[in-house]
Amino acid sequence: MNDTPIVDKEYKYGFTTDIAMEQLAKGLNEDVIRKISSIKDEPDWMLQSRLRSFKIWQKMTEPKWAKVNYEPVDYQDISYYSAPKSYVGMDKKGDKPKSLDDLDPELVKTFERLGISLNEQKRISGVAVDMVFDSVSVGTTNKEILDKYGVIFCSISDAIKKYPELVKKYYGSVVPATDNFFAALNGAVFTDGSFCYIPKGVTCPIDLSTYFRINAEETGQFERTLLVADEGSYVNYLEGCTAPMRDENQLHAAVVELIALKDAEIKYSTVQNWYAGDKDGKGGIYNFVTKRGKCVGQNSKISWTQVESGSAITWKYPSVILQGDNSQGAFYSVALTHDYMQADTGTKMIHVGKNTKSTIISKGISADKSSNVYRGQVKIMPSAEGARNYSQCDSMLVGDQSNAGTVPYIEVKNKTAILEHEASTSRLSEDQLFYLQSRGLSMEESISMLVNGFCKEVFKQLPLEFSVEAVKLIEMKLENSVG
Amino acid sequence: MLQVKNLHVSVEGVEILKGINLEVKPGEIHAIMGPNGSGKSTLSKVIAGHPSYEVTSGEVTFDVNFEQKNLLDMEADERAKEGVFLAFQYPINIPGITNYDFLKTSFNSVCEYQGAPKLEDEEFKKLLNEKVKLVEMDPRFLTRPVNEGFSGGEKKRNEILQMAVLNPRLALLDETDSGLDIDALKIVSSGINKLHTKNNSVIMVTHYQRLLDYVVPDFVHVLSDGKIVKSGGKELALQLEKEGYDWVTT
Amino acid sequence: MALSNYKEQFDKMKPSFKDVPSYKHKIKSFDDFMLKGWPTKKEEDWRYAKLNKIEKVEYQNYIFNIDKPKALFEHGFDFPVNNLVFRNGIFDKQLSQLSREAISYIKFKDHGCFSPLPGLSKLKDSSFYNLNISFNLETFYIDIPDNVVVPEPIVFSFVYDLDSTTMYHPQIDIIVGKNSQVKFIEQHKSNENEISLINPITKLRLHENSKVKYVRLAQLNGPKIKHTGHFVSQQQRDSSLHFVSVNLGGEFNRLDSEFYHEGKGSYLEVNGLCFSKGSEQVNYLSRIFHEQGYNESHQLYKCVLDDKSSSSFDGLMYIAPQAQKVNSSQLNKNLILSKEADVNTKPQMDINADDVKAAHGATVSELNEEEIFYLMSRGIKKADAIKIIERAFIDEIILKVGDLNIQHWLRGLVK
Repeated sequence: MNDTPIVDKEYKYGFTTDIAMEQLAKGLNEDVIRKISSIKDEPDWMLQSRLRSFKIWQKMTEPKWAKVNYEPVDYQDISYYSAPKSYVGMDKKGDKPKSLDDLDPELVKTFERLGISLNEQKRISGVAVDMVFDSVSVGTTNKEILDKYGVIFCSISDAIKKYPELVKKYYGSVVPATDNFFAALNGAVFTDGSFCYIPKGVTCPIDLSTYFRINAEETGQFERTLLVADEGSYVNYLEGCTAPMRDENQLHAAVVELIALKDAEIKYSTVQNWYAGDKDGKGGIYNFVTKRGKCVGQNSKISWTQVESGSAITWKYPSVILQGDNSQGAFYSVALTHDYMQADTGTKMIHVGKNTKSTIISKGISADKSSNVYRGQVKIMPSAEGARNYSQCDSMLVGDQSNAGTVPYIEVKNKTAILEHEASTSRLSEDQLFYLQSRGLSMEESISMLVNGFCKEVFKQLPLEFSVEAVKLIEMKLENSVG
Repeated sequence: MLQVKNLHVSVEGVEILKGINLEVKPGEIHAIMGPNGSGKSTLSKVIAGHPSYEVTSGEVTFDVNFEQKNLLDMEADERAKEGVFLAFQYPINIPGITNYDFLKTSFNSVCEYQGAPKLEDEEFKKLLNEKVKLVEMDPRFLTRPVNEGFSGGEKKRNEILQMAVLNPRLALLDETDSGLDIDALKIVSSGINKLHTKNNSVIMVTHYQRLLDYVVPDFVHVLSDGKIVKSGGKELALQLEKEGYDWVTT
Repeated sequence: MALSNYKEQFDKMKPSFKDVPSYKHKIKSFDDFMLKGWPTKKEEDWRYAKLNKIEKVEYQNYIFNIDKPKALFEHGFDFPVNNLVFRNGIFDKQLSQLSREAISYIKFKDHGCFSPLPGLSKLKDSSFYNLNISFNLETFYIDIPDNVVVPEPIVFSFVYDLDSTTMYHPQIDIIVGKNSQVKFIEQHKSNENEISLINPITKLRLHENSKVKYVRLAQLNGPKIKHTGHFVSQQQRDSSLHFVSVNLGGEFNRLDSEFYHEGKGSYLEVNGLCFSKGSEQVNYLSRIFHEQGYNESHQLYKCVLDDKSSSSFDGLMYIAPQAQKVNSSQLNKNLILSKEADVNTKPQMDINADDVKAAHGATVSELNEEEIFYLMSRGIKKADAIKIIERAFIDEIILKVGDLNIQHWLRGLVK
């Protein structure tokens, strides 16, 4: 096998946008928080919530148990608010730009380069997109269709002002500030994110999507997403992320809360391609995210599907609390690490109600000198009669310097639980490639077939266009890895 | 069809094959036997183009359309497309890809190279069904991922099925009989015999003499410590079975 | 002291084996036994074993009981087998039945030279294992030559029908030659009044490319019998072993098994079935060692528990660093018929290679109300419905035997 490390095809999202930005001075203290709240014109209850979170954060220490090594973050060396100037003034009046044509054309161009068209005519059909540029949501497409169905999909800053009762009811109910260090930080300084509410019995007519783009230097991105599916509703939600190439690391500490009431179903998919740092491990995003879903009502379902192929450090454990009887949680993940990336990721399935079911399918691909650890917890509480869990964790090692680990925690406090766990590690090895080549397939065709087969179960959970993207993304990143 | 001249092969700096000379003509069946560690599997893998092995000297030529091509210059997939097939001793699992898809992709890839038309699903299925009967496999296994959950015998039969579909001119069978019980051995042997014609050739590497009762070789070679130390007809195999290898290797 | 009983017996026996090759081994084993005594809960492998004050029982070695009267016994096979019958530990030629071919494979050596345990084995630390080595007086050898397919199963029928407090230490040592195919059945059956300790060891070595089916049955019909069986198999390259063990009844019914893959390309299936009711206990410990790669091991252990019975499954899958491309799976399924039944399951994986597949799972379930109702709604009485469901649960294991005659025979025994 060659010693050539993986050479990433040029990260094509590495450009920056030249645009006038309003940015707060660096540093984190009560004043900064008050300022953020005031710029966003928030009601007092929100400001108080932020201050409470801040106090909680100050008492916490950063967690050290994840198996990742990184330069410690200086929380005072980050600016906690950055927004396109053209946008800021309008926000104060509580109005978004009347039409997306009011936006800074540079901004529009940025998103087009990313493949997201803000132009209503050229919108991605069948998907409503909420664009978040640095810390602010800059626009949402497809509003009329959503309005017709009563689906609320807007930036969370808007929702705080327009739908305070709804927000107050659910905000923090799944991820309270006390949950962890980054959740507390987020609770204090989050600037924007998406809010979504699907009313009773409504199957959301189009897929909803948020696209996050970190642009400004030396800022951190702290978005907050809250998604509530009322009884009997259904929504398919997609999240995409990119960031420019920079030498310093940038922090992304997001919180996503999902709530599914009785008979509701939420499907949440993420294709993450944050900048991962260069071949020598310099730069890249620190991705520390708390994502959690709560199946509150009976028969509710929440599934997390993710394709992670970027970010220098990843620390995320999308979880599901299966509270309602017969609720189901699922986690499908493909995590690819290369060069010096480190990922410590996994999921938590907590079975509380009766006859709950969880499925975990995690596929890790680690190449070059990267490290990929799956950490999963399946917890069956004493009340969880008839719980069922199936976990499958497969690792594929490419090259001989990469590392994969599996740390499953299984805690069963109810005798009627049925658990099955399968794990495999394999090397994308010369033997396998040779087998395919000896049947007439070229090296590229062979890698493609093996990786595709490996990730198939996860990719088929993604909506079609995403899955095609995901396949291409993974293949491209592995192209020069073997042979 | 195949000429191996003074082939020296090393792996990780250690010389395994120390000057192999072998000639295989169309229609012939050759058996290669030898004690553990003699280099039997190495020979077949090198001819098929396994990347772990380094050819330090010698040549391997293969006749294609009256031209002599230097196999060693070709990549593994090129050799496959030219008609060299290796049945693996330990076939590889490919989860997520069905046998059907794998066979079709492989078949069409070889067809394209050889200038023959690719087949669409309907025609390919017809072709496949005939071949599946040859190895007495249940057609339903075509929908299962390649070698996943297959028993040892099924994996070996799957190799022969692939051979039937790709129709190679030179088949290298690497310990195809290891781990098979008597019944499976009979099915696999029958498959090999049915596929054999006067225009293609077979090199069987075997550790156990039993296979040679069912697939009768024209030539038997004994490989010991990287060299062919004795060649003969099928009686040689019987003698080895009775007397072991010592009398040949000393 | 309870152990003094054993010292007395051992001392009495010593003169009879002082010229035997295994003499030193026996002395050492006995010393190890005396030093350690009976296992207690503190020993990891015996954590879930309630030995019920075994130290208070004074077992007599079977060799001292030869002259006691015996009842008649039927061997119960309605298909052709080569049956070797041992009554109360002694080989009974009259009750046995062998084909001429089979006779040539059997050797019967006194004070056998029992083949040594593989290096990784933990059995040498087992007190019961050592007790067997100390007190056994004859090893039974089966040597199947190369290239042979033995048409009828070779059966070892150990029957115990003394109403006594006896300890039995049979030893069976089997070699199956290259390319050969054989089926074995080892059965231990006791009557209800036995208060004995049945402590057998079986060793099986499979040479290259051989195929063996081995069915082991421990059917203890009495409430005071203890069975501590041992089974060790060593597989050479390309060989295949299908092992099925069935444990029924007895106060304490245990099997310690170890399986070694010593070459590449070998295949192993270990299937176990156990039933316990009342206050019976079943323990099952298995260790599978992959010392070489390109092998497969699949283990399925099913237990049906009723009343206050208990079962424990302790399974270790070990994969050495050089053992790449191993495919292994381990599944323990328990069906509890009463809420007071107790299940302990401890699947362990010690994997040191990085290109392997390992799966394991455990389920504990009760009778499914839906299923029972479904059958009842088709006119089947509740009690029968329950029997049908149980039967379906256990049949999966019986089918693993893959031989119609033996399957039929097993089904008959298992209720």
